[in-house]
Amino acid sequence: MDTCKRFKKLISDFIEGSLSKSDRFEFEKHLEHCEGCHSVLEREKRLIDGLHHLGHLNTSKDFDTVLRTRIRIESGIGRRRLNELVWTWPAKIPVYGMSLALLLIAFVMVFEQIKEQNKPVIPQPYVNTNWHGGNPDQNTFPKTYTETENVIYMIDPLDPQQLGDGSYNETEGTATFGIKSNFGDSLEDKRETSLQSIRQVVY
Amino acid sequence: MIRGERSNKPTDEDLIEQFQNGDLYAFDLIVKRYKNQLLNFVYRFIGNVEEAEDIVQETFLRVYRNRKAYQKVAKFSTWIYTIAGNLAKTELRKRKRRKFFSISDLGYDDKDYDIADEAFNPEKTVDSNIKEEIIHREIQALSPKFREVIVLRDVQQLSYEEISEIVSIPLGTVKSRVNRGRLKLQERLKRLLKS
Ligand SMILES: [Zn+2]
Repeated sequence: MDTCKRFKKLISDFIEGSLSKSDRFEFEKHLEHCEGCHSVLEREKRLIDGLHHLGHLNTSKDFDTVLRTRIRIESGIGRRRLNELVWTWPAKIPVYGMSLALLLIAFVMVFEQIKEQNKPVIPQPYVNTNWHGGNPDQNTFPKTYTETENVIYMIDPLDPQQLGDGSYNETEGTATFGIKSNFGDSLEDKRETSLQSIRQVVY
Repeated sequence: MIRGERSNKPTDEDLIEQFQNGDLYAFDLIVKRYKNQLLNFVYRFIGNVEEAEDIVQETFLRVYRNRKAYQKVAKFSTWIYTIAGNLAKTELRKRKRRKFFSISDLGYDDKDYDIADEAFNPEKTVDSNIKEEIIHREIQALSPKFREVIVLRDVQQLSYEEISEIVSIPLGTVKSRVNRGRLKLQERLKRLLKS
């Protein structure tokens, strides 16, 4: 009985081969006649094997794009530009054509309080991630992103059709915008009911 | 990893050093190397794919942000696993708190996630998917302190030494936790582990 208890305590060492010779010998002898310990050992081996072979998940396709975007926002350039953008928004609109060259920023937006049943059809926004080693394949996916009910979209803040007026809070690192229009019809439809604010994630 | 197949593949520590010196491409390679294994670690630890992916994102953001904090005395993998593990634990704590306020279930759909091994593997039958599901559920039923070490040891197959550093508990404690965790699991999975 005592040996059974001791065996359970040391079963991992037994399987992984890290027991002393004498312990090992003792257990091997014990296993010959103790059915209980024998089946515990068999199950343990099968369990470890099963855990080793659990299916492997891959990150979703747009993982890299979202990460790059978040980093871009975090980086100084992103921060400065956002600041500038928000405060000088009206002035930017007339020179929108000229600012095409600046269409480098994709922003990750968290749309708060989108209820599961109100999930809008995801629009195809401008996503232009001009990133070192960037894979163009990864640049076109808006991200459906769930942290409880939040959905993240990639949108282009330089496109005046996508963003309305907003304000930026330096200390909190957040910006709030309205959605203007043309952000995909279905999203526009849902705006009133499901989108109350957009929070810019700046970490 | 096509690029990494050259004979002198950079170590993780080389990459983080290059990144510390401003090479953003090195950061890309780090992400490539670790995103899936971290996803699997966090997923088995907290049980929800989408939250797991969020935590892995956050992990890389912290690596990016705190790159200067990494020092060569530690293995890079230990460092990044520690960050991911801590974020996962924070998430579990948050979830506990949320339970007070919400009864909504944490349903998710995982159609965006490929189960790499299963997708095109004819060997894997419906049966084995069910088995995996059962094992996964029983892992989730363990308390976090057992779950974390079991996932690190038996799913991620890390050494006891590395786990001890990641979880920052003594080596002996890791070993006995793994041992007890396995016994608890096999007890709950008795029927499944029969044949
Ligand atoms: Zn026995």
